[in-house]
Parts: sequence; C-alpha cells; structure tokens
Amino acid sequence: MARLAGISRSRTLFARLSFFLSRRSYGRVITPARVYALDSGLLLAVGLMEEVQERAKQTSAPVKQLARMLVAWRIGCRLQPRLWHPHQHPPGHSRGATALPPGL
Amino acid sequence: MLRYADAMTRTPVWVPDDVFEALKTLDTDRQILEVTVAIAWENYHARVNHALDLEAEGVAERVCLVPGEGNCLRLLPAMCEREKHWGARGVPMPLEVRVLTHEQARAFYDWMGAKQDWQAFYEERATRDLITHAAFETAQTVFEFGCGTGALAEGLLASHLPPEARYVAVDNSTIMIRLAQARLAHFGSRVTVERTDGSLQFEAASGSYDRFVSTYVVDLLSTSDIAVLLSEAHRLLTPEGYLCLVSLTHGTQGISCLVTTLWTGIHRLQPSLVGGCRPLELHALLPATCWHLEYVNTVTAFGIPSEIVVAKRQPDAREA
Repeated sequence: MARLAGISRSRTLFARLSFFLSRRSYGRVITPARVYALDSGLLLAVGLMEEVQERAKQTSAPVKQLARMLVAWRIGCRLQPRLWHPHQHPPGHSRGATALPPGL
Repeated sequence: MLRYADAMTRTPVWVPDDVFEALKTLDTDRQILEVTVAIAWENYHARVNHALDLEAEGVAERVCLVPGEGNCLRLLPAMCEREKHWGARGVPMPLEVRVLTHEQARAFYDWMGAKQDWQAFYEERATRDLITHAAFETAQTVFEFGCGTGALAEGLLASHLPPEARYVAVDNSTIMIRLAQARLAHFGSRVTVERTDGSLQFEAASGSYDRFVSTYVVDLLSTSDIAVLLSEAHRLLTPEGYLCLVSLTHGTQGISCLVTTLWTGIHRLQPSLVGGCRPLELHALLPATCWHLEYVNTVTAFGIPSEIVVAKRQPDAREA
C-alpha cells in the first residue's frame, strides 16, 4: 500500500492530460501519476524529463534499458513504470531470456 | 556499462577511474551523458517509489538477473499488466503505433462521408503527380483499394483510362460505397463498386489487374496489414502491372516538418482525430524482392507532405 494515496480526480488540465496518457498506456492511472499529480509543477517537470529522455537517441534504447534494469534490480528488483511512456523491451527480449549485447 | 550503472547506484556514489575510462573508449561524450542521466533518473524513480512505497501494481516489468554463460547475465521479465490489458481488448499492444481497427475506420468514414472531398486541397497535387507517372493511358484493368467518394476513379475514367478499360473500386465504408456508386453510375458496366468486410484479401483471380491503386489509405493500416495488402496487390497484378500508392509522409523541412510532427503527436493521442492516418515512408515498406520502384516523389501542399510511389511488380521467388 502506498504511503501517499495521491489524487484520482484532478482539476488541473495538465494532470488530466497526464491521467489520460497513463490510462492510454497502462489501462489505468498508475499510482506514481496520482501521487505526482498532487503538485502539478512537479508532475510537469517529471513528465518533461521523461519525454526528453525518451527522445534522446544517441545511445541505443536496449543499452539504456539494460542499465536501468540493473539499477532497478540493485535498488529493489523492480523496473519503475514511466508516467506516460511504458518501457520498451530490448529487441528479442519480450518473452524469454536474452544475453546482453556485446560490449556490456 | 553495467559496471558504471552499478557504481552510480552505490551509496555513496563512487565511480572508479578505470570504469569511466573503459566507458570513454566505447562511447562519445554525448552518449555517456545520456546514459548517465538515464541511470540517475532510474535511481531517482526507484528511491522515490521505495520511500513512498509506491507499488508497481503489476505494470512494470519485474526484473530478475540470473547468471548466464560466462560473464553474461540473463534478464527474465514477467508478462506485464500492460500486455494483459491490450490482449484482453483483442488488439495488439501498442509498442510503436496504434491504428484504428477496421470497425473504427468504417465508423469514422461513414461519419465523414462526402466531407472527405474537402481534403482535396492537399491531396489533389499528389494524385495529379501519381496520374502523370503511372501511365494510366495504357491500363486495361484497374483495382482501387479504398475508393472513398470515387473522386479519383471519376477523374481516371473520364480523362485518362482508355474507353474499354474496366475499373473495380472497393471500400470498407457503406456511406462511401453509396457515394461512389452514385458518382460513377454514368460509367455503366465499366465500373464495379464493392464494399469489403475489412478483409485485405479479395476474390479476384491472380494477375487480374494491371494497376493497383490506393491513395491515402495505406497510412491507415498497421504495418502487418500493409504487408498483407502489398502481398495481395502483388498477387492481383499482372506480371507487368504497377502498384500506385499515395500516402501522407514525413516532412523534411520547415512548415511540413512542423505539421507532420504535430500530426504524429495527435495520431499518437487519438488516431481518429486525424482520420486514423499517420505519416509513413511508403517506399521503405515495399520489399525489393517483389517491387521495383519506378517513381518516388514527395509533394507538399499547404504544409502537408504526401509521398507518391509507382512500383513495378517483380516476379517473386516461386515465379522466377
């Protein structure tokens, strides 16, 4: 159970948009989105940070994904859901075990 | 890279010089910055969520690292809720692009009806370019997939096709079929207008047509549906037949780039707001083993870019 419940109905347009995107991606409003919606400014900042990172393409997505997975495992064996953009599986990785790319 | 992620995640953070030096030999400075921020951001998320005890609710992939061969680790994500959610709806999970289902597309174009002709302001230039380069003067049998209100068929039959040429037009929308039938009625037996059930396979015999035409329809379909349609077009065309396509495409500069970025954004949010169409790179979707690109062009009207492709059917491996 989350220590903060967050809000399920927001009056601000941006939070509503965020809930819409979350529902679109995950089928429901995820708890981090509801919690961040307590502060629209923070929600905007986190959302923009994720959007900018989503657009950064200098490093291949699977490599970044693997690095994130390692961090998630180190901290708690759970890859954190993004507010709007669900994680993409590395290629060939959606169902079974996959060896890491060369060089890692 | 993993050693670097590991070092950045420690408390206190300590990244040994040798780890960073090893990273510098692999990547550019910008790539290193990108990865560093991604790792730090994951740390931020993980720590916030742990402190607030925010559960993943089955949405995130659960990650387990288990030893593999040698130094390799193997990653085993469990099926996530998101996949279940989309699976239960009976539609593919939107990893890249979500498109309208056949029923949604039919409902949308039934609603749109004659209003579709308003799009001529940006479509006309591209279709004119297609007509110029697809040698319709020599065509005897034409198949049009997604005829809409029949405007293109009317133009071709009236001014470009030989008088003995036959034209078969199909569409998914009942209203569009009615409009096309009314519009093309005066061409009599030269034209057949039929409604499809959303299927991308047709009853006609192989090699029945020498032109397969589709304008602003392919961009409605999913990538897998486009592959099925192209395969069917290949089957329907005669050995010397031409595939004639027009679709929205990506802008390359200035206003067109801005328009298509906006268009793509709206499509990502709600495909029906833009009629289900999205910018595509048509020519890249045609396998070189089946099609020889005769003409590829992009024209822009009112900031909306369209790609025109005329491709000659190539015999496939079995025929060859």
